[in-house]
Amino acid sequence: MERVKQPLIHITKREDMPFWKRMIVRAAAVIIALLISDIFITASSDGRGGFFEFFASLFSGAFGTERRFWMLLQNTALLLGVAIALVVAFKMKFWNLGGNGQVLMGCLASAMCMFYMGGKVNDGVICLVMFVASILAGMVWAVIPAVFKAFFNTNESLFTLMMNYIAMYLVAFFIALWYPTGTGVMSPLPYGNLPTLGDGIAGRVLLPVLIVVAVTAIIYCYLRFSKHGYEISIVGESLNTARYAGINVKKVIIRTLCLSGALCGLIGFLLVGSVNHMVSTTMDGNMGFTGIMVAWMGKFNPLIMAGVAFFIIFLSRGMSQVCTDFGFTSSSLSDIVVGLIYFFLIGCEFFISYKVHFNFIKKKTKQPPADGAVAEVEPEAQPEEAAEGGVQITETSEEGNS
Amino acid sequence: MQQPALELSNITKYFGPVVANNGINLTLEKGEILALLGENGSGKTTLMNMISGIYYPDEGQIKVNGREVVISSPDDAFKLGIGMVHQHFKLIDIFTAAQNIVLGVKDGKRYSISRSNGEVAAIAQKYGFEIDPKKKIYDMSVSEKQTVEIIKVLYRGADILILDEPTAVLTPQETQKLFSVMRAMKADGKSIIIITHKLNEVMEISDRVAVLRKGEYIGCVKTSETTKDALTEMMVGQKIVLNIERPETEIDRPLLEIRNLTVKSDEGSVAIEDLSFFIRGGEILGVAGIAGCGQRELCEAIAGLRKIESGGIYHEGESIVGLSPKEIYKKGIAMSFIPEDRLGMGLAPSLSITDNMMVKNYQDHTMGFKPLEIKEDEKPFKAFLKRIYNAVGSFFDRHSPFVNRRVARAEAEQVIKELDVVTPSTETPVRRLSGGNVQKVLLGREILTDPNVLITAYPVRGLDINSSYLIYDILNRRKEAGTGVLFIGEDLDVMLALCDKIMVLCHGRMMGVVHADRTTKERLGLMMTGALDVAEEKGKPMGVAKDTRIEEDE
Amino acid sequence: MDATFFSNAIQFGAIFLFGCVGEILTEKSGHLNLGIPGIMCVGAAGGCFGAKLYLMPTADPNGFMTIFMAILFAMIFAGILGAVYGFLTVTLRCNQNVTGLAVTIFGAGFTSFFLNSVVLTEGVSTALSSAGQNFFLAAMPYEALGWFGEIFLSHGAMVYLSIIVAVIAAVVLRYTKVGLNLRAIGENPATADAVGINVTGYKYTFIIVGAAIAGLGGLCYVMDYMGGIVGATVDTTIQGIGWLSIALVIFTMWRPALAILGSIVFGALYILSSRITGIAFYQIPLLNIVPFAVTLLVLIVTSIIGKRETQAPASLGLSYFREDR
Repeated sequence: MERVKQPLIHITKREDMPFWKRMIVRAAAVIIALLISDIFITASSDGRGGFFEFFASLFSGAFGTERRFWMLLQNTALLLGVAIALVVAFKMKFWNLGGNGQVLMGCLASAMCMFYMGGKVNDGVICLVMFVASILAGMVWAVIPAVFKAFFNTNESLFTLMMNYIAMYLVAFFIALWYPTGTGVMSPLPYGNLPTLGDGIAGRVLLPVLIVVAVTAIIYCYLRFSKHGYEISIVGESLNTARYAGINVKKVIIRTLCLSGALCGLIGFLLVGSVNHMVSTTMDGNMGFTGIMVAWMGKFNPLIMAGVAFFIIFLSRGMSQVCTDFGFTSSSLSDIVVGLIYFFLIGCEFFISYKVHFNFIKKKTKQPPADGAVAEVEPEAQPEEAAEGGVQITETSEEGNS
Repeated sequence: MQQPALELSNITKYFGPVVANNGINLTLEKGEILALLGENGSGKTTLMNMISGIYYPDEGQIKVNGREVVISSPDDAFKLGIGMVHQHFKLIDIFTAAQNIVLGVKDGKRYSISRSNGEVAAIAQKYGFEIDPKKKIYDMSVSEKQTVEIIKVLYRGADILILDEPTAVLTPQETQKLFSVMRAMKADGKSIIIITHKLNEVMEISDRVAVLRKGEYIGCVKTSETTKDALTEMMVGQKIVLNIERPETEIDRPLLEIRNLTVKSDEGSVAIEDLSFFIRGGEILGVAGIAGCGQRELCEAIAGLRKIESGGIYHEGESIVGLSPKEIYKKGIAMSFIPEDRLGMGLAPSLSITDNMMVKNYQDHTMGFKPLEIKEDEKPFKAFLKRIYNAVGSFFDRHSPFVNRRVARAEAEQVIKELDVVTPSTETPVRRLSGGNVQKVLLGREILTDPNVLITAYPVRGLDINSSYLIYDILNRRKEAGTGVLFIGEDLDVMLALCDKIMVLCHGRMMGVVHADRTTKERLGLMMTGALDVAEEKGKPMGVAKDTRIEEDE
Repeated sequence: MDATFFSNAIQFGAIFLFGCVGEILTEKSGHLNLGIPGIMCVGAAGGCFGAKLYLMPTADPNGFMTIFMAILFAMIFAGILGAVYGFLTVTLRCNQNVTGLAVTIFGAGFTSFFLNSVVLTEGVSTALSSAGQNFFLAAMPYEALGWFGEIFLSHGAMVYLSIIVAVIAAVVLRYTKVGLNLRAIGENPATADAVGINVTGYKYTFIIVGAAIAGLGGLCYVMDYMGGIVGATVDTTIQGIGWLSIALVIFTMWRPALAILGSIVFGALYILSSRITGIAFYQIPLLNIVPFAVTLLVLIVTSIIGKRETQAPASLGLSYFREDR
């Protein structure tokens, strides 16, 4: 006779978890990841630093000097800007993996303005043209995949991914064109400097930071309060409902990606105009990808995203200090730690949206099925009180099998 | 004596507090075709799913060939030689027929597509199927896909076949082919359970008929010893007197007229065929029919969500064919369709009730601008400034880039209050509400717009008694306000009590329109199952109003 | 354009081929693994580590053992990272794009760190480069056969291994039950589940096998193409190759057999810029665009034609949860 086979581990969808519990799960994930990194680094650093020095180095790398602090702020702002740009598309379930390329195109457009107009016209005019050009360039780079997605349902994640590399080689092409004898490196140009708000590094950094803060606020309102933002959420939720509501889905996809690309272009403009004054093939700093992480882990909420962006920049800047202090020559250590944090933060979401039941823990007093009383465990019928504790692996005794 | 192929005794299944099957006893002899008859929601599919291992019964036992068994997965069912062909096909589109058929079979043999093609062709030959084993599923018609599903079951060596409404998607010719195949299988000693609603087919193909009603087992009779009328009575039962009001109203000229409408389903088969009917203001027109016989497609066609093949739809005499869903909605035609999963159409599950309220009217939202009052004796310059302010303000008011959640929230509160929606707040995502409350939100939103034609499909699906009566009450109020209501329902008793007229559909064709107070449940049952067609009876085309508003030259 | 050029194109193509076949197997199970670039990096690190483990204590190293150890450790390292990706996306049902990017970031960082801090200790560089020259690039005597020999017979073991792996993958996908089941899962996991296929098991197996194969691509780059010379920017270069491998999957329309040809085309385009004469310095980046542009073209054309066989598996990128229904 066949027996009822019950899976040892049973996973069901969780309805809802209070905000503070979710935060505890996430905090626990970060702490575990940090502790693992700490132990690993302390153990492999031939005794140059101890367990607690790790954290000291981390903080000093991020906040140690005024310059470090402002750099932290600037990089956070830029990363947040890219992430915000991507969120616009993600809300619509459009996987824009092309942030890198869109930022680079913005950079390239700015640099072109500098290169061709520099010294010929007023610096203010150059800034203005740079601004428009980079936004347009970013927009174009995002709209191309959007058009194909809208009309032919072409896979957008693969498309945008390819566009990144085309942008990268376009940048390489122009650098080679401008500096035929060079080594593929462009030297900073003295034109098109964005105005500063005060002296020193603080004054320079303040403008991009303020711009990003303003953009974040505007996009938040756009997504939350505008009719366009509403259309974006409906299209992301259900195409059927969108059609039912009379939304022109194609138009919304293209319009939204215009905005997403334009914002990436704007970040490119800030990168060239305020930070670097030149362009290089790696100037995007992989922010298009890191921005995806920020957007995802920030649950598309600008406030949480700001926190996540700050934390990631804090880690990567702090880790480079840790590398120096602990005697590692390779700076790639920070990538490992950041990657580890990603794994834990991504993984912990599972425990927020699913419930795990360990069936082998409960007592088994299964009656023989002769009297036909073996009931299937109905996943929907699970009592909610199973949701206890910070980490959500809970043991539940299921009444189903009496 | 030979053991029966399958014996069910005292099978009971609960879904939460609802009893889907209550103490069902059923026997299937070897080499017979048993028809399982019952209205929608009578528990046929649930019962069959328990035999094929999808659900597990809460009580009762199953015997296969006299041996008691436990079936806890489709795999278990296959091992016992039980195979079920579901209404929704589970096939891999880019595979060929043969690849789909051999997929997942653990026979220890090496995979060889030419051998599989041969085996499939052999089975097809044996029972008289017409199939090309090398044809890809996405190139296939519905009936071909069904053939693949049946061969898939036979290939796994099933002796007991369960066919869940196999003829629902077939043309009469295809049905005849299926029946000849079924007879060949029966001759081969296979036992078959066929779920169907069509009495003609029951009489034609089955040896015995088992009837379920509202989860209860009513009885089992030999087909040769019964009549269609007797079966219908068993199926629908006695008329239950419901205390639903049917207010008398002034009826208007036709509001919505449908002429010779033909619509195709997603699969490409004809879902609505040459259908003509009309709705007057101040009446409720019921649409009765077995589930899946074109109701969904009809709703979508009227709401402008589905392309129509031919025919016309007229609102107050004007054709609305080709208009966008938005334009149709602007004309005052509201549609609420409650699909099986309840969330599929018209709602955005993760968004709040408030946000779901504005799906259709968000584009009309204004900012709530109040113009300044200009007094008679005001100084000209001041009045001029105020006028400019008012003009600019009202311009932005009309072209507001923002949604107005205050309005939507008020609407949400109104719906929650009027329809008694149980929810923590207006900002709760719709996904978190229970099914009945989701339905109320959807229906409430449609009624809010004060439509003159309200199309509502299954508005009480899964609701408790009180909520159902609330909804009947709402529909009656709409009727009294002069709205034409198209009520697509499941429960015949309700429709007889609530509707003024009832149109019966059978596989996309109209079997007739009858006055609810002058017909019987049995008659409706016969019409639904295709056994009675009154559409042609009176010698004049039914469904065309004498006082039509459609201009003759159209 | 001479025989050397074609020979080099095939040699470089082998790197793409490993990455591409690995990604095809993963994608056929319905998982878009954007971690392949990182996994290829880790494969390189693991391969160097494995070779070092064998070479350093051995006085008179044997070519077969060196290659065996390198391949073994490349596959183990890459497989472990693949398993991490699999655990996160299959069991924990995390978003595939996000997880993949995290894997790439982690993999590249790990490789750079691991190679510099663990593998390249005193004397290892020399041992690796001599192993690369003497073992990995050891070819059969091909000079006698003229241009044919130079193009097709002048390669080291890794190149032939890549073609064997691609052929095996093609055969498995097309002519075996395992392949049929795998394709069914990538198309529609619910249907596969309903006919009794172990969806989770298949997904894990092919994500890990795919990652292990892709890892060989990294090894192939370091030990074969670079001849055992571990450069400082090895992780950046392999990452770039990794993204191209993902492009190659689209270019070859998810067919391992086509990937053999495709990889040679990509290999030729990749090395073209450094081999070609008579074009201006600034035109080289434009040549580099060609593989990506061509891939985009294929992506667009296949989506416009809409033929189901030439497109990505239908459930690519979606998590499967049985109780979702």
